[in-house]
Amino acid sequence: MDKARFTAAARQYQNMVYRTALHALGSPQDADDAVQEVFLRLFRYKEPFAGEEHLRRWLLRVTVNYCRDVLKSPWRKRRVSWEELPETPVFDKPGQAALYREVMALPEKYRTVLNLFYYEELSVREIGELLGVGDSTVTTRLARARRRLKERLGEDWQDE
Amino acid sequence: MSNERFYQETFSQVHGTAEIRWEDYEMMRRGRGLKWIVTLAAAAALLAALSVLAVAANFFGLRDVLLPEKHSVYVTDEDGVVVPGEREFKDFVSLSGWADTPESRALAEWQAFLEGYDQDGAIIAEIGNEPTGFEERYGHYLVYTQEMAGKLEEIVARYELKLHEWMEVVLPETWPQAVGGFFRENVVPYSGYIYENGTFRFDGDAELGAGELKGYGTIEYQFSRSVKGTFDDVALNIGDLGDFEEWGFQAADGTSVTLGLGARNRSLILADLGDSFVLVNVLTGREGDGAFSSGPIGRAELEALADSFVYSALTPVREPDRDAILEANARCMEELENQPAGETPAEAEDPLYARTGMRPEAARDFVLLLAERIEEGRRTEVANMLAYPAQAEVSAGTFTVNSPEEFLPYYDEVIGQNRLGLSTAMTWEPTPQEPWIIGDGRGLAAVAEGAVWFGLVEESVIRVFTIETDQAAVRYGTGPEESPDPGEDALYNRTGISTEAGRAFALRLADLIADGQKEELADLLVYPAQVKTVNGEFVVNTPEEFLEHYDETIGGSGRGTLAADLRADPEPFAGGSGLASAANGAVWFGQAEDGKIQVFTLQSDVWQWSVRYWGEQP
Repeated sequence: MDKARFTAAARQYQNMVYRTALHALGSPQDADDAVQEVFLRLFRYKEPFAGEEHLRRWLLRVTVNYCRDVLKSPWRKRRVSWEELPETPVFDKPGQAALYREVMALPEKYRTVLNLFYYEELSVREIGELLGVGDSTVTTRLARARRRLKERLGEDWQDE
Repeated sequence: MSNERFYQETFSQVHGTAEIRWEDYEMMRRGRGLKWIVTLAAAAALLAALSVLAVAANFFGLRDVLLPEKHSVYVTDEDGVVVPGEREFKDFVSLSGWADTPESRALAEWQAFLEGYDQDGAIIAEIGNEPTGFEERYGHYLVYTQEMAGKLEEIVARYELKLHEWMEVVLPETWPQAVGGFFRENVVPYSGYIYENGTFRFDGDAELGAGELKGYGTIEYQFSRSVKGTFDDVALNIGDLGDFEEWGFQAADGTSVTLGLGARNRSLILADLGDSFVLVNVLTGREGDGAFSSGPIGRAELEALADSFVYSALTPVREPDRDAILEANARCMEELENQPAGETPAEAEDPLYARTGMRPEAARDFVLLLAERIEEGRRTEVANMLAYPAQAEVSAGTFTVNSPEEFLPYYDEVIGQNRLGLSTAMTWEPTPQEPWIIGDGRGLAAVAEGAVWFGLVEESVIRVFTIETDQAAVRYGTGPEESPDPGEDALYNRTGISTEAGRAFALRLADLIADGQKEELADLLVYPAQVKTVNGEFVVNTPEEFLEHYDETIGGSGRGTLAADLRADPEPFAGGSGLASAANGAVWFGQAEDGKIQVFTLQSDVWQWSVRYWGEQP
């Protein structure tokens, strides 16, 4: 990949990688580290991409895999607790801060599925393939996460 | 506003601070070092005040590393979700050394300051997500105002400490380059990080396979070496100090260490090496921790783990060579990138993992635990390790059991009377046989020459699918023996419904549920039926009676989920009583007397409601 393409990819997908890593790892600092690592892998990746969608899926997959490796590290999880960090982003509307808080209070496996489904708009099957779990596992996680958000957010979160 | 839009609008405002530049990666490739934009997380521990500690009796023990006061942490429920507003108090220990050292006293003082600073988050909210300008000097500490910077400078000056200047990630293969050979062959270090002064931390595992511990399996831990003279803001939550049994121990390399065996699922190894301090947080104790380690440990296992490290190789401290670490990391990355995504190299090569999703050590640990519980006659615990629903095949007949409680009456005939034979056969060779694949694509593995089959029921959860002896058996669902041979439709043999027809029925049911076709759904149920909802239990005898409960069952808020589950998992499996199930057991259906396929059970994914046939078994 040449410099122009790499720079364009970083501009376009950096936030996607960050969001995905933030959902998986629950820590802004660790998500920043993940961004560095994932784009380092892109920098070193020699194979051509078949198109934008191929590149996007590749980055998602590498991010998910990287985060999975990081999550195997119990030290990281115990090193910092999300709720103890004062670094909550500033949002436009009050309901958005509540959604952010509640999503981040969920266990990792629910956060990741929520992000891939609602933000990245992947299908259940695509999420299952990406995470290496069955479709029913994805739907179960989605259902439980939705229910939890409904319980905590009330009318801000619609019934589905 | 739709949930999707709500979600996207919210998270589109969340951005990282990392700067991705081609030039930085170019520099790294040339081996000149990459200045990572790293903002390290704050310490996990928060302390209230500095106080003088009592000194333990004859040797330096856990109390000597304990930080002055307990501190509150958030309470989590059984799902790991934070319970809002609830906190509990825990003991914390310093990773930097005994509590009366300058490093630990500085840590206590800094945390006491943080405890009272910006408690409502107003200052950080005003700063927002922008860089603060304090990153360069204080990037490894929680500093975002001049006041915090001033306090930190004051503390480190008082205790004559330095601040961390840089930190690098160390990949697994890079540890010998970064620190040297301080661990034995049974130790596997994962990725970690190292600071400019040689302070480093990593997670790892160790195989305890020697002597009497042969076959124990893997034990996981977190290893910390803190070099003295530099301020480090990390502390460790150990729960309750009173839960630990302590003793002094001379490790294999002659180093004196302090061991603390936890009553629950944490244990500690401490070693003061003079110029640095080692603390190993062992992720198991007398109760064990299924998530991280293979099982409970005792004194012998903790001592064996302590023997796995060569503490003397860590002193005197030598400063790390940053460029050499980066080069070694780059080589390691190159190798990793050539591996297929999604699996670690070891997993990709392992046939058991490839076919069952179970890591060999996890499978072996499960078998050993099951064997131990069978041998000791721990009936309830064994019953809890089975997958349900299952069929108990005993001399009086075959009975469907849906829970551990329902299985217990059959326990003695299936397992109890073969207690020693089963446990001996399972521990004779605990490595699972070549896994046998059942029809739904999930792999099962067998031990004890096929007497016990087990596999994953969901991510990271292993359950027993079959236990079979000469006299009796318990089998989950179709069980391995009933799985279809090529060209043979086992579902049809067991239920009279072909797999194709079963799948079509499941998908039709999903459409009816999604579309709210209540009358058609009511007609598909078999009566009488028991309806369980949050409002009570009812027996309904006709479709009309069921429709009175439609909105609190199928027509309720979980409708979309149930339909989605059916569409995602319409493959039917034969269960007990001649019925087929789909959607992971959410629906059970079979042939009614007139040959039509009808629904015998429908239930929500979280057991909020269910509708079950309430007559004689079909």
